[in-house]
Amino acid sequence: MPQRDLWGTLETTVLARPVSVPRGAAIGRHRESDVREAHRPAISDLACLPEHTLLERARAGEREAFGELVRRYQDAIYNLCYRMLGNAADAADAAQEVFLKAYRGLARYDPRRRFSTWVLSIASHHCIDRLRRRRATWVSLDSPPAQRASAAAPHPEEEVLRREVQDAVQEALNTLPPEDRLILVLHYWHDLSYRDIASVVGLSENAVKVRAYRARQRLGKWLKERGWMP
Amino acid sequence: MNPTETRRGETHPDVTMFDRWLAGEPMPAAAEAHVRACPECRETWEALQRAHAFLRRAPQVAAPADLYRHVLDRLPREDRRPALVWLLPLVAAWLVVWMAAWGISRMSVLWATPFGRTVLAAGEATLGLARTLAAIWTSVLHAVFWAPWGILLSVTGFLVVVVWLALLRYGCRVAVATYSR
Repeated sequence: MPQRDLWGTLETTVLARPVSVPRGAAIGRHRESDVREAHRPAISDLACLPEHTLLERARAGEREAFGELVRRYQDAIYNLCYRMLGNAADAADAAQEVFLKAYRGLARYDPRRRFSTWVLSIASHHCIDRLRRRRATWVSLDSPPAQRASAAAPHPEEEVLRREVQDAVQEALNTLPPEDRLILVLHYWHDLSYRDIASVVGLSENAVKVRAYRARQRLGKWLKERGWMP
Repeated sequence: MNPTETRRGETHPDVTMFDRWLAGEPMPAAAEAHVRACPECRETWEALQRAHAFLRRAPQVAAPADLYRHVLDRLPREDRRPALVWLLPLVAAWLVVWMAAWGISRMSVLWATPFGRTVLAAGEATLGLARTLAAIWTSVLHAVFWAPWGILLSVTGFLVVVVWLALLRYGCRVAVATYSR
C-alpha cells in the first residue's frame, strides 16, 4: 500500500465537489451516492411517504412499499456488510439476505424501535454468523474491492483513488476482531450511540464503550506502524 | 476503566474521559498537562485520535446498482393475507363432503335395491362434480377477493354445500322409502 496521502488527495479531488444527499437517506454517510443515483429506479410516489406508512403497507403485503425501504437503506446495509465481510460479492449476497430476513420478520418488528436500528441489528448478526461460518479467518487483503459502476464514474482516476482508499480502510478494519469491527462500523458509519450499539450486539453499554476504546487504540497503533498516519 | 492514581497523585484518564474528549469536549488543563507528561497516556491519546480521524474520514461504500432489483426479485411472490383464514372453512367443507359421501356409501339399504344403487351412483357423480366446482370457485375467490369478502364467501359456500348435502341425503331416503313400499 503506498504511503502517500490518500486522504488529502481524495478530499481535494473527489469529496470537495458538492454531493447531493439522496432522498430518504436516513443513516450513514452517502459521499458516493451521487454517482449511484443515476442507476437507481425512478423515485415513485412511495418515496414521499414517511417510514411508518411504508412499514404498515409492507406488513400488509405490499412489496413495493418494502422495496422503497430497501431503496432507502441499501447503501447503509451494504456498507455494513462490506465493512464486516471485506469483499463485494459476499457483501452483496449478505445485504440481499438481510433484506429478505427483514421482510420475513416484519410481523415481529416492534414499531417502537427505530427501523434503521432493527435492520442494522439483523445485518450485524447475519455478518457475525457468516464470519463464524468462515471459521473466523479474516478476509485476504487481495480480495476484490467493492464493484463500482465504472461506467457511471465520470472521472476514472477518482474512481481508482476512491478504490485505493476503500481498500486501505478495509485493510485497517480487518486487523480488528469482527465484534470490535462491528462496533466501530456501527458507531462511525451509522452514527449509532453506544446504547443503540449495545442493544444491537447484546452487550452492556459500558462493555461496548470499552471495546470501542480498545479497538481504536489498536487501530491507532497499527496506523502508525504502517506509516499511514503520523 | 476507572481513573487510576499515579505516583505523583494525578489520575490517568479513563475510557469515558478519553471518549468525551474524542467527541469534542475540551480537555481540562490539568488532564492535558498529565497526558503530555505521561508517556503511556500520551501514546494512548495519540492512537485514539489517529483512529478517530481515520474512521471519521473513511468513505461509505455504495451499494451496487442492481442490489435493489435483486432484493425485489427475491421477495416472496405470495401476498401476506392470512392463509389460514382461507384454509379453515375450505378444509371443513371438504371434510363434510367426504364424511357425507362415506355416510351415504355405508347406507347398505341403498345397495339392496337397483333403484337405490342408481340414486347412489347419481349422488356420487354429483358429489364429484360439486367438488370440482368448489375447487374452481375457491381458486377464483383466492385470486379476486381480499380477505374480508373472501371469508364471507367461503362461509356462504360452505353453508351451501352443507344444505345441498342434507337435501341429497333426504332425497335418497325418500326415494328408498318410496321404492321399498
